[in-house]
Amino acid sequence: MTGYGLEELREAHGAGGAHTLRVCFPDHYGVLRGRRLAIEQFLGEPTTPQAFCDGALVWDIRCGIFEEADFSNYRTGYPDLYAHPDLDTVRPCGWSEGEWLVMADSCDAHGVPIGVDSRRVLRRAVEKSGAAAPAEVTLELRVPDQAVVDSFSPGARPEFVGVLSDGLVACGIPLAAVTWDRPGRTLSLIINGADPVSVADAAVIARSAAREVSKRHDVDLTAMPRLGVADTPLSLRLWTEVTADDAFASRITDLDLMLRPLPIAHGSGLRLQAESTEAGCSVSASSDANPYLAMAALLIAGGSEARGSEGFESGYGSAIARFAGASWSLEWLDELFRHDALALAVREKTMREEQVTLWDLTRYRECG
Amino acid sequence: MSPGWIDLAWPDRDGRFRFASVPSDTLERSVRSIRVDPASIGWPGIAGPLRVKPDPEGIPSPFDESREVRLCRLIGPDELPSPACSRSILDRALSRAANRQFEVIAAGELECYLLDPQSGLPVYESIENYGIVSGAPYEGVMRVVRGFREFGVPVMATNPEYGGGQFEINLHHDAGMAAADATALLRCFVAVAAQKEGLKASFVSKPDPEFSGSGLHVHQSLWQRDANVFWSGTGLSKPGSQYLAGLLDGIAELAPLGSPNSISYTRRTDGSFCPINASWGGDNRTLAVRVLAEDQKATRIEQRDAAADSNPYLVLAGQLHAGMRGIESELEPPAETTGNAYEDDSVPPLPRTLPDAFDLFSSSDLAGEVLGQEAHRVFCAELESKVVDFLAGHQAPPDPDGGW
Repeated sequence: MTGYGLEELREAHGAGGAHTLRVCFPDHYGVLRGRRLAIEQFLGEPTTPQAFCDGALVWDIRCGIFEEADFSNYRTGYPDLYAHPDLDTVRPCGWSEGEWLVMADSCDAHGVPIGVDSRRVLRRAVEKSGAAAPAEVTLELRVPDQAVVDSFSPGARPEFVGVLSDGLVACGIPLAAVTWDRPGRTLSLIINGADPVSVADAAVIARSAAREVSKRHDVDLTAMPRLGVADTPLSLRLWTEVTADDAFASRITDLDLMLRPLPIAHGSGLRLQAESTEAGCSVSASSDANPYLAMAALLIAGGSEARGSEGFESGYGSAIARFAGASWSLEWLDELFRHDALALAVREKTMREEQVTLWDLTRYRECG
Repeated sequence: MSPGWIDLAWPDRDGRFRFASVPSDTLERSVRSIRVDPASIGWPGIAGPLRVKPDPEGIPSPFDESREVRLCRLIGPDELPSPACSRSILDRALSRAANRQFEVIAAGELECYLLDPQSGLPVYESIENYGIVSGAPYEGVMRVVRGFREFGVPVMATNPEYGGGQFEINLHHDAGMAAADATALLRCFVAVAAQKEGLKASFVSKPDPEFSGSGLHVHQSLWQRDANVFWSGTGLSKPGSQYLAGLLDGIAELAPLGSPNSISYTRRTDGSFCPINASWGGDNRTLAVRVLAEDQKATRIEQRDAAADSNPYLVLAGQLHAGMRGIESELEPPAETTGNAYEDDSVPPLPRTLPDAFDLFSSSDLAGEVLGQEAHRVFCAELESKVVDFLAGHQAPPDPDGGW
């Protein structure tokens, strides 16, 4: 819950303080997609879904479509998905005057939720695990620009950070803290105090807002885990109160692709960091992870009783192999989702091995 | 407040508006003094000069509250609607439907690019389809565009499209003429909104060979006493099916109405989401014609081949005549395509070059019905000169302004 709803939207609109609504849904990488419409139009039919090409749920990080995705491809004809506004998520975009947003659930033409929609993946994990427990996310973002780094100090913050943090609070995001790590040039947003879906919504919105506000202020900011091999990788740390058995670590390693979806977060010496204690389960996904999928992976690994694969070897190829072999996760994940997540990973691996262009790097850098 | 000036506007052959500004208190006198040379609006050889006949109602300008836009029809020396009047050409098509007590409901779905006016390049490079963040810096333009709904152009929503710097603009469904008016007005209003933000809007069908093409998809349905004629209660009705058959029967020979320039045909490539054959089916973006049989309210047929820089009056007129011929002749559609239409060799191809399209169009009786014989002759002559240029290797360069 955001503390806002249709009534508040009507009031804001009536008072002249709201004009545009963003209807948003996440793609496979947790990048917010959608469109903008006039608020008076939305208020006329607030439950009416918006139609989008369903390829948006399975395109790669470059918005590239490909035939190996079973959910949507040229053979299926890229039909419409219907984004149904989740009216519990209506909230103002505190960083962009007059704009509000609503998250949407992707359904087919008959109103059936689509299994590859990452918000649906998390909802299903929440339903199955019964985890209404509070969750927490810490989102790390890198600010490489030295001039911006120098403008942080106790008692002072760069203008874009002020706009962002004030805006997120005004948006109803349960923002617990904004921290700054000077050596790592890392800005962290800690979000907690809500259920897993609300926290994941908040993380996706916050990352998107950070990109938007930094662009507006001409500040270089990225959710890319590493800019160079010497960089300490940035993470998306997640925690939930769910307690798990001893096989948690092997299960969550099987789901590494949901935590570190792109090759850039893998490599020698980079291991998935996960922990299960009496206080709950936690994991450090990569900073470019999709918060819905990462949170789902945490709940699935925490809530399952299956045994995962043995060993903890690192590397993208290993992550693909483990995910492919983790048939136990079918109990939790839609088969089509598993297939297409694998297809996307294989595509990334192949493209990474064949060629990494400057454009690719820029795209990764702008992820989120 | 009564507007101080009225902009009398009429579309030329390409669907661009030409206009004259007149003081509102001298409207009748001013109208009598305006003369239009058909050659100046792309119709050389049509009898002139033409007089303008304004609509009784105007729409307020979205940019200047002292102005009103009044769309016009063009009247020939014989006091009849001129063959050079695009709106009258659409009137005839609407009458063909009205003769069977059908009301036409339609909507345009347009794509355009926002360009840097200095470099001529798109405002951003990467593909950001439906991108929320990527669209944010251009909200200065797009918010104004969505506001056109208060000014007779019922914009429903906007979003970044599949090309870098490309945007999609959806319009609400409306009665036939209003839908075409809105589509035509949208282009010139968007151009002004972009210009005010220091940008250029381009509706050119293919601004650069490397860019995604910009299309004009036309959604259409026929209604009778508040009932959607295309809806059977469970799917596409028999008249809907006949209308569909008519569209498919005419789509190849009428191609130049939606793709009037040689560059328009460079959109027609495999996998581009611009159709390359006369395929049809359900909700499938590889097809030329999508049948979206959803319910009483939303059932419609979408023809997807036209380019964003075509004349929306002529495009809709062509599709209506083709569809109505399907109903009148009780045509039956060919087999539905399921799957990837780009790989369906059983479907008749659409012309992939202007010369191929010209050959079909110039000998088409249907094209003569749509435009009228005189306008068809002139349109063919103009096309022929473009064909000559094309065959000589001079493909008309894209006009980054889009001319609106």
